[in-house]
Amino acid sequence: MTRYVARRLLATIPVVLLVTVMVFLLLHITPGDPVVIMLGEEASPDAVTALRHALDLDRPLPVQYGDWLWHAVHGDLGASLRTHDPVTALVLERYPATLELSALAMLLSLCIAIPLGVLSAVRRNSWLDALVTPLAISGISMPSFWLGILLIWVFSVLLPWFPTVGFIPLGVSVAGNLHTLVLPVVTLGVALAAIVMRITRASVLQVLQFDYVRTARAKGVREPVVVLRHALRTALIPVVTVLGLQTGALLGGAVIVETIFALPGVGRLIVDSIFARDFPVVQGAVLILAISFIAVNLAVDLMYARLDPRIRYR
Amino acid sequence: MSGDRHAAHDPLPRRELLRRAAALAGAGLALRAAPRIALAAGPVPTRGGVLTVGLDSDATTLDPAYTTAEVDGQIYYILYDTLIGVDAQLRLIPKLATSWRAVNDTTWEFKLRPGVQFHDGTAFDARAAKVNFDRILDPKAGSARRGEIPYVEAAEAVDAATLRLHLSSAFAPLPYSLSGDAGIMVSPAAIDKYGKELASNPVGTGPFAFVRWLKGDHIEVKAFPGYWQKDRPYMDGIHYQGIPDPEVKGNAVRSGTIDACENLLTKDIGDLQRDPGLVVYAKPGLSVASLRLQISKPPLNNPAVREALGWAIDRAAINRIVYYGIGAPARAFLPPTALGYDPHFNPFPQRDLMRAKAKLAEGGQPHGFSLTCQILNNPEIIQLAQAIKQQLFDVGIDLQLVTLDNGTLLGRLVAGQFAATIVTYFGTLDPFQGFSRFFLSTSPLNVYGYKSPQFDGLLAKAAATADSQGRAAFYTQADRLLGTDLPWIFLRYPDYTQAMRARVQGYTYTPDGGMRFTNSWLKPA
Repeated sequence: MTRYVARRLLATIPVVLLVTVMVFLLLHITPGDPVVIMLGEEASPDAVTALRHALDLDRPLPVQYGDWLWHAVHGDLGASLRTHDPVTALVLERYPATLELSALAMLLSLCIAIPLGVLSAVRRNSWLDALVTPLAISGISMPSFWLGILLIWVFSVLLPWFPTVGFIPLGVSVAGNLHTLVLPVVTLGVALAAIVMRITRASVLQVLQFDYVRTARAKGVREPVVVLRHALRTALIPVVTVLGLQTGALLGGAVIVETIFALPGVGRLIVDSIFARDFPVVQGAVLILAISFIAVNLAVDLMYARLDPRIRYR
Repeated sequence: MSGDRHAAHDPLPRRELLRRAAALAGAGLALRAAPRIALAAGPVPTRGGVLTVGLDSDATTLDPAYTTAEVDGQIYYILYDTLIGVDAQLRLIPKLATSWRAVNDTTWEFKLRPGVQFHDGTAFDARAAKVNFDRILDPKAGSARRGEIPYVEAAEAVDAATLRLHLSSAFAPLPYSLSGDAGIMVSPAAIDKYGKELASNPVGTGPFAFVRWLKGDHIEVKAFPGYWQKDRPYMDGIHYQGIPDPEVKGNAVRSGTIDACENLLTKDIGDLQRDPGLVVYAKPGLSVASLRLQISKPPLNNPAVREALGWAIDRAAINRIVYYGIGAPARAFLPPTALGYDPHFNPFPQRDLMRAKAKLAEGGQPHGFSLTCQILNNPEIIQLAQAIKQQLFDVGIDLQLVTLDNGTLLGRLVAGQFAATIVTYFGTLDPFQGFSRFFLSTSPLNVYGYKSPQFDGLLAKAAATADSQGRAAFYTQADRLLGTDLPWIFLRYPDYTQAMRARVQGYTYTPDGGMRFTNSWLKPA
């Protein structure tokens, strides 16, 4: 197990390097000069040249990348071109909001999707199944930017239950924090819930056909126990896989949801920084998100062994 | 609406226009709801309460020497004071400087207000002001304000209450420049203490002092008890909340999550105006949206071809259809609120396809031509560009639209890599800056290929004319030249739009778009 984890961790190094190279190249291939964006169209060419030099942006690209990488491996992700704030501090400042939003959205989706997925599998072709399936398709089809604004319109403007925008950190007030996150979490969680529900339903249906389930039934085990104790555990393996892969989609979705609800998360930081061509911030934030994504998927792989005793890692 | 409004405004001189606008704004009036006139003028101000303001995004920096984002300015209005202020008629008024005069063509003297202190307790005097100017003027500091006070070479603290600025050449609009970000005074002790960190630790003399900035979310400020204006401010504090999505911003003010916001979507303004809980301002500002052209290359180097574009575009229809009548069709570079605006100058009073075709033939393009136009990837700009494309198509001009993000568009614009582009310029109180930067033959920012000795001469005379009315006459002539030579095809004067919850009282709209809350208070529920 330890060797497996060590091997997996070593394998992440080239992946992370590739991510940083790609992000660096994409940012520099994209037209747009951070200095011109900062100084605006009325800046004199002298001012542009001076600022570009002051920010070390007039050096050759390989030198810039090498310098960034050297500092990054020493734990220094540089400073924002616009605000001069250290990138690590900026990202870590924003990380809790994104983490909380994503975690709560995942929790919400599991709370909705697992019971409904199991029920619609057990009661296949019933009225419940007929209701849940179109709901799931609607959930997958609804774009979050549309759902978010719809929720704001209904639950903030028509029914003043939740704030339209704003964020209260968890450390300031737990109740206030959850209150501000209800609409964003629902917006982000609905699509994931729909996907997980479809996977759960299909997986449970498949597992219910397995021999060991038939054996359990033959032994006289009650149906709820058969489903929840015997079938569900095995059926959860594809669900966990999908959840791991959906972490990327969740972080991508967080970019949109954070923008709609004006949440101070990493997603919005990246979007703002891309528009401003704030290279170090985009580079650092994407690096941290990539590491998070890799970590989640490693955790998913390790979880297989807990769910299915037949799986062993060497 | 705007076409009608312009027709109604035409016979009025600018001074009368401003007087009327100020009378309305001074009474705390919205565009609608006549019964609110008495309410807005009557109540005695109440103390306390916290105002929440929705901005287009989170601030980028709270150090005025380095900002280039319009959004930051809204926070500066309450954290800092400028040497010179403006009133609701955009007239210069004393602020941290109680008076100012040109000692000679190249020396300006400012008498400073006594008894003013910064939020950190540092006294404001000429030495503090000198530190601020030294910082802006230092080429190594790379301040974005340097270009806003051209020709200023040095600051001198004559005595504690007298500051002199020495210039290398006459620059009469200097006091106007000092009513903007270049005239903001920051605590010299804070400049020493924080250095670059001043961006997150602002210390000014404004009515509100900085409390904290939750990056990406909001900024909190609280009333400064030592503010030099007696009994101000009325409110305990203000929260500035960044809301990047304009749809959400409109909903936020409607739901009461925020009390005030600016830059509303024009499509939302009608609905917001009908909301009894809101007061909506949609009033002329200082901006002009234009189709900017590269006139050094054929076929646009031919004035007749540019004039054809002018006749082919129906500005009134665009403003009515694309912008729901918010704003006004443009005539030249200067909008009605600017110094030097001439209400009698209207080179293209209405669309005239016959004249457009005749001018195209005169310019050697009887069958039209194809023109690539780079535009911002923004729904309203795209609609505007599509309307222009449609109208130009009627005279055989094929406008090819290329949509770009802001960074790319800006990069290509300043590098002169465009044939045509649609951009809005946010003007300044005195138009010298815009005129000189974009149209002066020698300006490195004149990427349009416009060269006019006559225009250059007018600007030189304006720069040397201390009297603002005398200067305005030169600006009027310069504006007429631009409206005739057409390096840009002037499209529309956008309105500044703001929405306030009805509980916000004592607010006065200023045509520079600044939301100033020094005299505002919150009506108790």
